[in-house]
Amino acid sequence: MNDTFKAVLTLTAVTAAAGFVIAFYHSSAAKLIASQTLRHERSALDQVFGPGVRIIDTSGSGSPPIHFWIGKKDTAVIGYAFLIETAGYSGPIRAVAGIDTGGTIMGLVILSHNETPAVGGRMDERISKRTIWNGFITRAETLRPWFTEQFKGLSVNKPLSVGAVSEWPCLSDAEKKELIDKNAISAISGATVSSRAIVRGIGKAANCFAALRGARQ
Amino acid sequence: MIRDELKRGIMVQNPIFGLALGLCPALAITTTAFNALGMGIAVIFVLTCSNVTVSLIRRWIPEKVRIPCYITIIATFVTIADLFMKAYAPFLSSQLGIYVPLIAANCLILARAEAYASKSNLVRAAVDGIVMGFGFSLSLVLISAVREILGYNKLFGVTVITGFHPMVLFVMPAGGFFVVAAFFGIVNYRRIKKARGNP
Repeated sequence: MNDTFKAVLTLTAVTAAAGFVIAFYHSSAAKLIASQTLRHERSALDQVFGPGVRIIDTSGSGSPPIHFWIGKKDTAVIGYAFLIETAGYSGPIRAVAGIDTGGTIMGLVILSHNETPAVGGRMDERISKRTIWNGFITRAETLRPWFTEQFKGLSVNKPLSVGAVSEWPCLSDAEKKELIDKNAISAISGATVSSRAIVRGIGKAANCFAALRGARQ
Repeated sequence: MIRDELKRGIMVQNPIFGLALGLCPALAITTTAFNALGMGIAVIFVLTCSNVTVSLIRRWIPEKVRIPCYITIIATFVTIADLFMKAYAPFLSSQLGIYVPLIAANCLILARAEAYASKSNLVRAAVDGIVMGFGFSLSLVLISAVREILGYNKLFGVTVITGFHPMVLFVMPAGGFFVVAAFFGIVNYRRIKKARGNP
């Protein structure tokens, strides 16, 4: 009896102490974590809209089918950014897609994904000229993600499709032009599912955009 | 003393290649050297803190409930490490994902608490945590460096040889098994040779 009582008491004391420590640390870390998520979203929005744009969050006002932000320069609306949540190859992909008032895609930034490394995971890959031999001494370069960049300038008024024989950086100028004319993107090789998932996500954003524009007119 | 301890953690009782403990993260997160380094640092922190705590309260823990107590202590430090990573290194945290909370189930840490820290004084337990964590991290970084170079043609995110087409297999789970097996082979070859050399 005494042994059992001692065991229960010890375990209670240890778990209580553990709970107290975690609660104490969590109270200070929670604020930081929330601000990190917000900062991540904010930087994606800045990339989509470009500099000098006032961004208005629409969450909480009415009930939009998907979360979106309005970008305003002075008083004129220049575009909308939609939060895309789409089912990828292994789990959800979250991204922000910016669409200007005319229906042209202003930019696409991937927020998070769980795609297979080196296959679908290349959706936010950036091509760098750095190598291990000069990489640590050369000055910083602006890296552009090749996959999401090809969405820029395409239209959401026409259906967007996946159609290509090779990856974007390997295509010739004529092939690139042909793709743009067809309003299509080239998939990541080996990751057609992930590429299609993003196109589908943009489709959802396009529907939302059409509804928004319909409401304004 | 420090030299002997370091040798024990890295060579003789290397957690992965010597004791074959903690193989799950060794396979799962070693796709890039950056991830492996992040994981290694988290494990050093958790292992050292849990070893110290277990050693401190070892006299008051009844035999019957020692394992639940150790697990609770380990999980506490893992939660702290996870929250810290989310707050200060969100990119790393998103890369490691579920494998940070899973450190709590890493048999290496429980094994050190049960086999070493619960029988040693504070200083020895702390040193054991640091050297074992260091051996673990070093192994992770070695495995991931090989995998990243072969699978991405990169090291810490920087291209190694321009124009070399990487073998994607090596960042896939199957490639992980190959690399870990190759390391095991090398380590055990040396060990067997040594054992035969000095009968």
